[in-house]
Amino acid sequence: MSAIFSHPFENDNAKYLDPAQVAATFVPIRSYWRLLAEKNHVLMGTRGSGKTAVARMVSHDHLRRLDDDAAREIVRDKRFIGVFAPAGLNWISGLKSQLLVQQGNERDYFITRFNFIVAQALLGTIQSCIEAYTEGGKRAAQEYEIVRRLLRLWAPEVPPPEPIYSLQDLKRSIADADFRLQRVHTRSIYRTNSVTSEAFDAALGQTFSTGLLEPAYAARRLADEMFEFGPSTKWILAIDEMEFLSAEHHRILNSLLRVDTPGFVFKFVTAPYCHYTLETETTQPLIEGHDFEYVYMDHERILDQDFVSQLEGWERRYSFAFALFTKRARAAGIDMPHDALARALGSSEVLDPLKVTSASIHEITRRFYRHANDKTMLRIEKLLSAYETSPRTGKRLLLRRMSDELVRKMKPAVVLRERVRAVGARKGTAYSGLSMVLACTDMNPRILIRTFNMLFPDLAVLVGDGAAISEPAQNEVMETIGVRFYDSIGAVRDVGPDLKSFIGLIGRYFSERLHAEPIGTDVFSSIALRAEDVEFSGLVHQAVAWGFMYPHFKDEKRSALPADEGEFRLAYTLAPYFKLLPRRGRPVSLNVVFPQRRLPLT
Amino acid sequence: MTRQLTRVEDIDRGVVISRAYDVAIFASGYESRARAIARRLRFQSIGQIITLGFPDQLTLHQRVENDAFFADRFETEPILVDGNSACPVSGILSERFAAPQEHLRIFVDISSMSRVWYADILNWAKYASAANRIEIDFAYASGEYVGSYPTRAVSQTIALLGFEGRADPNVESVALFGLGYDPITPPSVLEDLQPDWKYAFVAGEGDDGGVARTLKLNKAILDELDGPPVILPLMSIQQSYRTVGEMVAPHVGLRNCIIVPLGPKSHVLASLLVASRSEAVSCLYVKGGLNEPIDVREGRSMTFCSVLFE
Repeated sequence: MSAIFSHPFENDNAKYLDPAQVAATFVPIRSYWRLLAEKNHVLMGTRGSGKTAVARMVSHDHLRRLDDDAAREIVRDKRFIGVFAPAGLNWISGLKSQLLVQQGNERDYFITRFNFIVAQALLGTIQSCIEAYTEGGKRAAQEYEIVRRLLRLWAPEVPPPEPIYSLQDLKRSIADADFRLQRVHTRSIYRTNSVTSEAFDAALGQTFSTGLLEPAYAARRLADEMFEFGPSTKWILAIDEMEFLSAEHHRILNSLLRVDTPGFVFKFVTAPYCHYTLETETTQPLIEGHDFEYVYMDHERILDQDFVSQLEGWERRYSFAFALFTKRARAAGIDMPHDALARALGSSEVLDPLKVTSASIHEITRRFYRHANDKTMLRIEKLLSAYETSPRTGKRLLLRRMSDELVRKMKPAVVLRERVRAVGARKGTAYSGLSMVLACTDMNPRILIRTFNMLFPDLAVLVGDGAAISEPAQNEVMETIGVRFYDSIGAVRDVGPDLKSFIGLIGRYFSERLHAEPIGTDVFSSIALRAEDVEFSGLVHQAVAWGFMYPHFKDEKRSALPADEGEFRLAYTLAPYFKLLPRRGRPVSLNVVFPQRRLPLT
Repeated sequence: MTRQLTRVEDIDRGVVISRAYDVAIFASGYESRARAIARRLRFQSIGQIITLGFPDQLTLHQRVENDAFFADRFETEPILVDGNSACPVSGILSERFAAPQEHLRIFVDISSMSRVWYADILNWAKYASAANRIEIDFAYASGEYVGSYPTRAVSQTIALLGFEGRADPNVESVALFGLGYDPITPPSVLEDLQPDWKYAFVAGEGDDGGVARTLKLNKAILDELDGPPVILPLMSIQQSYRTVGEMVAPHVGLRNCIIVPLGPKSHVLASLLVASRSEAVSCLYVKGGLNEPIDVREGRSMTFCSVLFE
C-alpha cells in the first residue's frame, strides 16, 4: 500500500488526521462496535483514549473507508448514516462569550449555534453518501439538486449573496453566515441604533433557531428521499468534546435521548464523570439502560476475539498495542517484521516470568529473603525447609508452588527495588523491556504513540537488523514520559494544583512502602474510595477524567463509572516517575495515606 | 457603520502629556504598579477621569493604597466593576458620551487593568455611535514579579466578547500563545484546544529576568510548538502588533486563528488590536484564580501607543 504518513508515530491525535489516515490507522475496539447500534450512548474516555477517533469513525465518510467486512456491510446495506459534529473548545469559548450577553435568551442562542454546527457536519455526510451511493456521471447533478432543495428548506425565497452550486460551497456559506450573525450580535450590543443582518443570513438564522436539530431533521428527510433510505436506515449523530459544554447545555441535549427522534440515535462523547446531568428539558430525567447506555472505552479497549485468537504470546497479551503498531507501520508503507517490537525492546527482568529450578532456588530465595518482611521470611524458610527434606517428586511440586505463590507475586517488586537501588553512577534500567514499556502506557493510544515515537525516531531499528534499544535508553524514554505526565497534572482545569498534590502524595506513599519497607507478596498501588471520603471524591473523579487514575471493575460487564466508592489505581504511566510497579496491587484506604484528611493546598 | 482600526503607533511621553483628553481611564488594582503612570505623568488637560476598581478584596493593603492615591491625585473614587462581566466599561462610556461627537480622545492606563475591560473599550471604540473618530492612547508600565509566580488553577477558557473570531469546524486551526511567567495555563489550554498548528511569542526584555525566565518556565510547551518562539519587544505595542499580525496573516482566511495572550499586558493589547483589525481572529482569555493577588511592583519603563478608529 502507498504511504500516508512519513513517520508512523509522529502524529498522536486523530483530530489532525484526514479521513483516510484515521481509517487506515484505526483499531476497532469493542466500544466502537457497540456504538454502531440503534441505541443512544454516552461514550466516555480519558484524554488520549481515542474518543475522537472512535466518534469520527462512526461518521459515514470514515466508516466507508474502514477495511473491515462488518463496516463494509453496514455501508452497503445503508444501515447507519453517521454524522460527526465536533464541539471544540474554540467554538465553545466563543459561544460562552456570546452567552454572557444573551440575557434570558441563552437557550435559544445555544440551540441556534448548535444547529449551525450540526448542519455543516450533516452536509459532509451527504457528500459522502453521494460518493457511496450515486453512480459516477450522476453525482454532480444530484449534488446540485440537493443543494438547491436544501437552500429552499433553510433559506426559503432568499438568494444567497454568492451563487451556491456545491455542498462544499453551502457548508462554507453556512459557516460564514454563522460567523456574520455572531458579529452582528456583538455590534448590536454596542450600538444604540439598530443593526440588521443580510437577508440570507437572517433567513438562515430564523430557520436555525426553530428548534433543536429541526434543520437537520429536515435535511435528513430530504436525504432519505434522494438516496432511497428506508425505515431500516438509522442516522447517528456523534457529538464530540461535550466535556467543554455546561451542565445546562447537557440538559438541553439530553432531551434528544429522552424524546422520540425518529430515525436518529445519538452518541455523546465526553470525558469520564463529565456527563454533567441526567436532567432533560422534559419533566423526566434520563434513565440509564432505558434512554441510553454508558460506554466506558478505557475499560473496553478489547479487540475482536476472532482477531485476538490468531495471535500468540505478547501479541495476544497486548493485542491493542500490537494492532495499533502494525496498522501505523503499514500506513507509513513500512514492511515491519511481526516480531520487530519484541526484538527491539527485549524482555523485562522486572515483569517477565521467572521459573524457579533446582539450580536457582537457593540463589532466588536468598535474594528474596533480603527484601522480605517477617511474615514472608517465615514463609520462605518453611518452603525451603520443606524443599530440602522432600523426595524428588515432592521437590518438583514445591518448585511449582514456590513459583506460583512466592516468585510470581514477589519477584517484580524485588527486581524493581534492586534495579532502582543500583542507580547511582549507572543509568536506570528498570523501565525497559517490551512488557514493561507497554504496561507503562496504560494502553492509552496517545501515550502508546508518543512512546513509540520517542523510542523509534530512527525506524531502521525496526525494519532492518538494527541493534535492540538499550535498557538505559528505554528507561530514559519511559521516565521522561512519566515526568511530563506528572507535570501535566497541574494543568487540569479547576483543580490542577490540588490534584497534583493529591497524586503526588499518593505516589510517594506507595513508593515509600515499596522501596523503604520490607515487602511481602502484596504490592500497594491502588486506593479505596469510600462513600464517606467526600473531600477526595471530586479529585479522584478528575484524576479518572484526565487519565491519572483508573477505576477497577470487579464486575467485568459493567461499563458505567463507580460514582462514590470503589478501587482506583494510579496510571501506570506514572510508575517510572514514582518508581512503582505497573500493577494494580492491593488498595489502601485514603485514611492511611491522608491521616489529616486534607491536602496542603486546600 | 463599524469604525476601522487605521493606526497603531507608539508615541512619546511628551506627546501624551501635551495632549488634551476627553476622558482618562485608570484601574486601581491590587498591585503598586497601578499608580505608576498616574504618578509619573502631569497631564495638560483631561476632561473626565474614570478610575475603575475590582469589587472584591477592597481592604488588601495595596488596594487601599491605590484607592487613596487616586482619591488624592484625581479626587475620584473607583467605580467598582466586575472583572469578568461582559461590557463593564462601555456602559459607563456610553453614558458619559451620549451625544455623538466628531472626535473623541481617550487615555487608558492598562498597567493594572483586566483585559476584559480594555477589550470592552476597544469594542466600544469600534462599534459605539459616540463619535466619528475615536483615538485612544494606551499606557503601560512594566512590572517586576518578585519571587516565583504563584500556582493557579485554570478554570475556564473563553473568548473575549467581540473577539470570538471564526470557529469553523471544517478547517484547521492555528494557535498563537503569548507566554509569560505562568507555566500552568499554556499546556492546559493547549491540551483543550488541540490546534493543528502551534506557535508562541515571548517578551524579549523586562525588569525581572525577561526572556530567559519565560523560556525556562515554558519549556514543556515550547517542545510542542511548530516553530521557535518569536521574541516581541515588551515596551513597543506597535512593533508587537506588527509582529503578531505578521504571524497570523498567512493563516487568515485559510484556518481558524486563535491568539491566547498569557504574557505581559502590552502583548495582550497588541493581540487584541490584531483581532480588532481582522475579525476572523479569536482572542481567548483564561479564567482561573490565583489564591492571592500578586503585588506586581512598578518597573523602570513606560510605553505609550496611540490607536485610531475611524
